[in-house]
Amino acid sequence: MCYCQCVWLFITAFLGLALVYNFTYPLMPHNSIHYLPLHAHVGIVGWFLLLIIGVGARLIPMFLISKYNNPKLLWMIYYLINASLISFVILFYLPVSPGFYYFSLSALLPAVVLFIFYCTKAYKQRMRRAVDEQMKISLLSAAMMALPLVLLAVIILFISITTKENIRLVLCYGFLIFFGWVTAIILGMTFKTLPFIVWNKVYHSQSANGKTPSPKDLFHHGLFRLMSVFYLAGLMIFCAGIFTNEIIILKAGAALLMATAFMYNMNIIKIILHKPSVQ
Amino acid sequence: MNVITNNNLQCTVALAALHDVYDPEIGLNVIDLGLIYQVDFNDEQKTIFCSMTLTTQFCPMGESITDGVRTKLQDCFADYEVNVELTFDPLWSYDEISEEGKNYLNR
Repeated sequence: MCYCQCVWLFITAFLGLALVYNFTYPLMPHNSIHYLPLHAHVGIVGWFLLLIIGVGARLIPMFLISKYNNPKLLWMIYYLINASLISFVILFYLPVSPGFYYFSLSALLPAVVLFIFYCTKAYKQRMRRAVDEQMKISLLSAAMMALPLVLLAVIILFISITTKENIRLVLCYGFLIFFGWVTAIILGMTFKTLPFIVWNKVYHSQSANGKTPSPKDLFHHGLFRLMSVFYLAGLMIFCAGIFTNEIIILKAGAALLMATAFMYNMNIIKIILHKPSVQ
Repeated sequence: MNVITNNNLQCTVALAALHDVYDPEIGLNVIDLGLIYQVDFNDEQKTIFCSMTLTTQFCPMGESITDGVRTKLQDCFADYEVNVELTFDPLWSYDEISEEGKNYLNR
C-alpha cells in the first residue's frame, strides 16, 4: 500500500506543478481551477488515505497488542481504493453527469467501512484490556473516515439535482477530512510514536536495568485528555458554524482548535525535553 | 514458556536475570513475554548463544530489548562471550505469554 501511495503522490505533485504552469502557459484545455478537485482527490485518497490505512493496519493491531491479522481484507481495501480513484480520474475527463461519481464512491465507501471493520476486530481481539487515550483518538479517527464520504454522497446528490455546488457542504466536507480524520490520527499517533523515539534515545542503554519509565510516561496525560476534549468540541462547534454561517460559532470553534494546537505543542515540548529519571 | 538449553542449571540463572529486561511499552519482561527461545552455553569456548524474538518484526523497541538481553547475560556471566541472535522463525504468538503475563495484560 505504501509503495502505491508514492506513485499517487508523484501524480499529485506532477499534476500540481502542471496546474501552476497552466496559469501562464495553456497546457490544459481548461483553466487550473477546473482541475483542483482532481488534484485534491488524487492527493487525499491516493496519498493520505492509502498511507494512513497502510500504516494504520500495522500500527493499530501492534499498539493494541491484538491477535487480529487479515491480509486478504487489506488487499481488498487496497483494490477498492485504487479502483475508486482510477474510476474518478477517468470520469473527470469524460463529459458525464455528476451522478456517475457515485460509481467511484461505491468503491471507496466499502473500502473505508472494511477498514473500520478491521480496526474493530483488532480492538475486540486485543490482549491488553486497558486501551490508552492515544489509541482511542486513533480509533475514533478511523471511524471519522466515513463522515466526509457520507457528505460527499450528499454533495453529488445536490449537484445532480440543482446543478450547483452547496458551498457549505463542500466546506464541511474538506474541513472533516483535514480537521476530522487526518487531525485525529495525527493527535493520537503522535503520542504513540514520538515517545518511542525519545525513549529509545534516552533509555536505550538502560533496558537491562529493570523497569524504566514507559514511553507513555513521557507526556502529561491530563493535558492530553483536555486536548482531546477541546479538539472534539472545537470540531463539532466549527462544523456547526459552517452550516449556520454564524461568525460567533465559527470563532468559538476556532478558539477551541487553537487551544488544542497549543496543548498539543506543550506536550510535544515536554516529550522532546524529557530527562532520564533512572540512572 | 519452553526455552531450549544444553545446561539447565546455568540457564535457570540466565532466565532469572532476564526477568529484569522489560518491553517498556507492554510493561512485561522478556521471559513472561516468551521472547527467549534458546540459551546454550559452551564452557570450553566460554560462549553463550541466545536465540530470541520480538513481539513483531516492526517492534520500535527491538534494538533496545536485544541490547538489554545481551547486557544482562554479559553482566551475569562476565567471563563468557555473549551472542544474541534475533529470529522470527517461528514467529512469536500470544500463546507464548506466561500465565502471569496474561493476568497482567488483563488487569
